[in-house]
Amino acid sequence: MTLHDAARKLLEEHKVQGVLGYRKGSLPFRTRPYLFRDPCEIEELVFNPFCGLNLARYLLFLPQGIERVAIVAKGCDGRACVALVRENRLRRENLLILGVPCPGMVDTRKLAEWEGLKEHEVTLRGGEIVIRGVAYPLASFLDASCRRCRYRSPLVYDILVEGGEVPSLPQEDTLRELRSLPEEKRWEFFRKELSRCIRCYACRNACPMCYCKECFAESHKPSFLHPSPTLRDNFVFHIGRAMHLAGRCVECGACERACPLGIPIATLFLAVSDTVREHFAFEAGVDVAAPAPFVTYREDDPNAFIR
Amino acid sequence: MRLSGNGVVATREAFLEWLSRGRTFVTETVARRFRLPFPSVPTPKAVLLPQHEALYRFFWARRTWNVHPLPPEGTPILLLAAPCEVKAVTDVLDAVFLGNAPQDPYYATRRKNLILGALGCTFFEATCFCTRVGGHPLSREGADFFALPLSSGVYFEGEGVSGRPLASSEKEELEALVADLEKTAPPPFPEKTPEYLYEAFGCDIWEDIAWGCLNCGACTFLCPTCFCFDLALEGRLRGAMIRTWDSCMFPKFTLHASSHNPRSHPMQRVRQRILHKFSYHPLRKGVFGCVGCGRCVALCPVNWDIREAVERVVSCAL
Ligand code: SF4
Ligand code: SF4
Ligand code: SF4
Ligand code: SF4
Ligand code: SF4
Repeated sequence: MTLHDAARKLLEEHKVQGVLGYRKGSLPFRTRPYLFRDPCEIEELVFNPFCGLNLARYLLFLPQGIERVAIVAKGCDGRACVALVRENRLRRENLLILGVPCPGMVDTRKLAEWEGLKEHEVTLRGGEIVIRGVAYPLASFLDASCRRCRYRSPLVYDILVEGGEVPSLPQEDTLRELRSLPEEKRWEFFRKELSRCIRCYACRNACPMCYCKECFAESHKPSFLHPSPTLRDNFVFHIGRAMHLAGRCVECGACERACPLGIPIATLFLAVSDTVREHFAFEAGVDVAAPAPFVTYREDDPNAFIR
Repeated sequence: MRLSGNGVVATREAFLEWLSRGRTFVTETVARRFRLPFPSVPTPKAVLLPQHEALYRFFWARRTWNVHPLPPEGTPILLLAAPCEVKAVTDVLDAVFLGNAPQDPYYATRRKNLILGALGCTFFEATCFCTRVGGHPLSREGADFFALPLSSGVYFEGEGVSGRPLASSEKEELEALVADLEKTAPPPFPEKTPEYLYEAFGCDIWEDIAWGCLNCGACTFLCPTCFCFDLALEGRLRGAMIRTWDSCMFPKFTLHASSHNPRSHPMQRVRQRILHKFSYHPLRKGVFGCVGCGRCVALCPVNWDIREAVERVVSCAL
């Protein structure tokens, strides 16, 4: 079934009260989140390589009257759904995952070089992106999180939408270069990037896993960091967030895409996810039943320091 | 005041040479459109109301607090901004920080030391809407000087740069530009927009309008007119009182000491942002609190578009 047919049918048959999806935005190459409630609106539902937001973020902020909702989920949105169910934020039965295979998300900032570029001047063809008639390798236009993505199609879904070409891109270790640098150089990288942060919290607010009613960053009692974005406090915020997301980050990169200053902030969270993968053989949002590394105690834990 | 046409044409070199005499900056908008060899700042606000500003230092010694006010800082700088960004300073920031007594001495000192030039715009970007809120891409209103790149040099109005009078071909170029901008200008919001919006406070479409917004600080922090700030102590026994930006999008912005929060719901915060810019500020000061620069539209992570929001509320009120 196509995405449109599936979504329309769900609404028409009252299986759900809303479909969380994307709609064309007001600017070229931009989409925006939308809660479709009327089957007639479904025509406006889109899914393309410019749907970089993680829609699972909205599952905890649904308007009143929506009991069961369907979500258009690419691989990482699907992982976020699983992770939220795993953390008892949602009931699985109130959620209908409309899985869509994902072509990878294009970093729109990379299109800024082409002045006045129109949407119809850009097309995807296999592993290539064609801009004004010239083909370029798609991978070089994708977000880092998409180049390293392991699960392009959701692992857990209720309906898997057909169609949609998914180029078989190699999974790339986008952090290798940074990791190979000596410590001072890595420090220099983060220093430079984090000194630009204005602490608008778009990254945190776009993150499906940052749903705390009161974030430590804004807590007054106790106060962990100063509201003004000095380098020191920026580090406290981002490292604090990275710690809170260890074993929870679903590696979607939505935080990085949300940053108005283009700070490659996901680097930090992706690196922590790698560490969790390596030491705990765990990936967030992959398995609803898998025990979460930081809230599970086992007497026979292989790591002696925990026992 | 639109450009008068009485300016001169200078060579690009002469113009750049003049700019290079002092500490010169350009705004990001200007930097994006013109390749100029000067460092950029996000908007004039970043210069006049820096995001980190120490107002006084303090320390605890000999059983008492010692407090040392820090004098306002003022190094003369020249800033080349788009006309909408100039308007943001004159219509909004000046009105807020200097319009009523007591004036803000920190702002006042920085403002006195700022030479603000307007660089005219030759086209509307997809996000631009200055003409919807009373601005114009060729406005020199409020600016210390006005410049506009022409094919043969730089058109200049103001003091400092000398040049020759306009040739007839250049006059034609200017007229053609004015005509072209006239044709492509986004039309103004209805005259009674501030009143309509005021009436629409209780309208039931706000939930719908606000849905999707992440309630982050991107739009307000990066807006040239948003001026809300917070004061917070840095350090315990020794430190400083820091003024930093705050945002009506943040849940703690209106949190009372009693723990009551009059804007605890995200929708109320979005509504505040719209009404402040398009109703409260204009009703009090006679000008919109938004200059239509479109930065919030361009930089919003979810493409939440303030223009559509205003249109929708206006049509709800009508
Ligand atoms: S979105 Fe970017 S600028 Fe805003 S807090 Fe996050 S990293 Fe900083
Ligand atoms: S931290 Fe970033 S990459 Fe990880 S789940 Fe949140 S938004 Fe996605
Ligand atoms: S950074 Fe930590 S405290 Fe803040 S919202 Fe995310 S998980 Fe919660
Ligand atoms: S309108 Fe956009 S930039 Fe502003 S608070 Fe909402 S999501 Fe953030
Ligand atoms: S367009 Fe947006 S960023 Fe620009 S002045 Fe208006 S509200 Fe502020």
